[in-house]
Amino acid sequence: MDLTVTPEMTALREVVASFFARKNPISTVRELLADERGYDSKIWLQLAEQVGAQGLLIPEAYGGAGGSLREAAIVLEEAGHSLWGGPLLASSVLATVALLEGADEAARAEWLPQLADGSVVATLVTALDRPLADAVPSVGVDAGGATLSGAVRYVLDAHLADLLVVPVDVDGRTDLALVSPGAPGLTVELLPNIDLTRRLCSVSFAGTPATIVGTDVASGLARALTAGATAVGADQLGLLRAMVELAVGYAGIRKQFGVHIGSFQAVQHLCVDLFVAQESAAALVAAAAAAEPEEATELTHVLQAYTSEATPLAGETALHLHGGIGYTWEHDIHLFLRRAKLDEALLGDSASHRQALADLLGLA
Amino acid sequence: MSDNLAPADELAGFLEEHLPPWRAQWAGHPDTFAADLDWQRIMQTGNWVAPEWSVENGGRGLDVLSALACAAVLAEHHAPRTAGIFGVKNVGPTIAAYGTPEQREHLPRILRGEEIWCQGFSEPGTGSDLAGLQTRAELDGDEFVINGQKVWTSSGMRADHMELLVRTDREAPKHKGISALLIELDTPGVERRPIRQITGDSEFAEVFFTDVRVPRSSLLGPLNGGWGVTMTTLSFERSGVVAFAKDIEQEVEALVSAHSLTAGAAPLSADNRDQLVRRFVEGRTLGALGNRSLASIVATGEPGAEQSIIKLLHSMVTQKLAATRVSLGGMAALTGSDPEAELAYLGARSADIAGGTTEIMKNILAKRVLGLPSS
Repeated sequence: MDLTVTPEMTALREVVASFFARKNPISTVRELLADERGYDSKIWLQLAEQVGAQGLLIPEAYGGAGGSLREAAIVLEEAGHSLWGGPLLASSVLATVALLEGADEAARAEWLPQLADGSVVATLVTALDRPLADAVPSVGVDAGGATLSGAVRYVLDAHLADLLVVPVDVDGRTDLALVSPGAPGLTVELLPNIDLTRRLCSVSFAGTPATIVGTDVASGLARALTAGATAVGADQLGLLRAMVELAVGYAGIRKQFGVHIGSFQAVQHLCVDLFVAQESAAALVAAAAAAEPEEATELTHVLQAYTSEATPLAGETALHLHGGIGYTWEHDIHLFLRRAKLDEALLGDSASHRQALADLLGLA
Repeated sequence: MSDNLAPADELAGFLEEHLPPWRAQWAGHPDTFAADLDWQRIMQTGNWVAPEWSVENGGRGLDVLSALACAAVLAEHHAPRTAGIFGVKNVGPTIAAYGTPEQREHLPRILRGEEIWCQGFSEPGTGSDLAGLQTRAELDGDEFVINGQKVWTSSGMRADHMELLVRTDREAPKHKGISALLIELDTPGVERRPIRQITGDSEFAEVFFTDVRVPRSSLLGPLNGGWGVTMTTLSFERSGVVAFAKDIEQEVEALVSAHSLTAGAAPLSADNRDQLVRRFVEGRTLGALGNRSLASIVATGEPGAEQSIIKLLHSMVTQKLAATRVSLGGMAALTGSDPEAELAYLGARSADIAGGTTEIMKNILAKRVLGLPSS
């Protein structure tokens, strides 16, 4: 496993961090809380142009950067750190890898270049609350083979997607279908959600026209979901970094009893607990993103088992360290806690990942 | 990369040649100090006791990656631990850093196991606050006269030499009045007693000094400059983190394997299964932190903040793993069915105290890494 951080990766991180700092400051995040899209399309396109983020996992032959999950994880981490709501997870990881692993060449050649340059936002229509292993689609193909029926809850960004990538169940086999927005019989509803920075939908199909682009894609879909789970881990790492910065920052400015609260050992130890969570998550994201295919499933479960428990706890601790002001709407810390709670549930909570590990390890 | 494998391959060959006859010879008395010491002498015939030491100091000058590869080979072959480990890992490198040519003559003897060293650091009144130590050494002509007491001296009963921290200036601020001495433990006035631990055995000694006279040439490093020498020894003590992280990851894997269906283990309660998986996650986390620390060492020469974090987590996981082992054994484990597990549980109580308490490690991380203010 190669964990060397290359100069290119360092440069990517600097460019992306600076991009989000300029284009998505917290004031912008706040303005977008009530916005149905949840992000500015202009910024999405600038990210594609200036950083090529959307094409990181797409091979150069399809107009992408031919990078790996290690590079994608850097971008996702910075996006989480910035509370950016752009559909990177939905489109640039989940839908992208599903197409790469499950679609035929014609579909890949048609769509991947458009995903790479940001002109098309796609989303993978799969129930994101379900544990990784449990990916049997709840959408089926109607007799006649050209339309879909079924419903899926908890899909990211379906309300704004230009392309729906839909795993479908065909008599126990999983195939891959593509559906256009506005298709007949398609209903997309925006769901309320604790995370004010990202958008979740329920999607239903009733005799909706679709194009089947891949057959027997279960293992490819599993790889897409595994990549997605590592991407969620990267988002969680970004949140953890922000929580540490906010808590340590506050401890260094808030005074009580004539001294900074950061000089109290109890406060110091809580800040250290946050830092330990951050560093542990960083090590696990690096390991999962760099993993060879045969280790990736296990390491991704380990990563998610850890971060899905540690990140909300860190958010709660970071809020606590802010005292009363952390409990106000106007302070930003709750925005990080909210996003951490959604990340916890995405692609299975900590307990579901531990259950998957128990099965993988052969523990009865 | 193949360059890094070469020393480890050579070591593997050495072990394959020398371990079987050694095991045959000591079959009746395995795990004894005498057996381990004999093994150390054999290892040194091939110059394998401290391959990470520079060639100038008698080692092989191996880089970090090669040294870790060698450690992995030793673990794979279940080679015995180093008998004179404190001399090899901590005191020897400190002597190499500060010693006079005459003092450096200890180094080959340390490697060959002809000298067994211990460290006289903690005192009954001075644990976490090491700089507050009170054992004093007064210069009387050409000799230091030492009076005081040390406690928690690892290998104290077996050792014949000690790196001893003493106060040589009682007027100066506490960090500036300390000196390090290299002494022989059979010097008149030195009395040692074993400390019996909660596990029943005695790995540590308390050591009493009553008018002990040692030559002035015992001084290691500058007079009253011993705090720097202390910091050097402590940094060698803490530098094995990557190896610690990997060791515990392996221990966890072994426990998990032992309880898997393929091993024919009995079904687990839901709680025990969850605890075992949690230990697995913790073990993998430590392994990942170890890898990251290693990448940092290779890139910058420094282990990064990972070092303190690994120490913290290693202590916690050691204790939790020991508790999980006992829990998996149920009442039977508490009543003699797994004596090793019972002892490991009790022995693990030292993990968050020894080598820096968890609270001290957190204080260090808070101030030095997070930049939080002192009180």
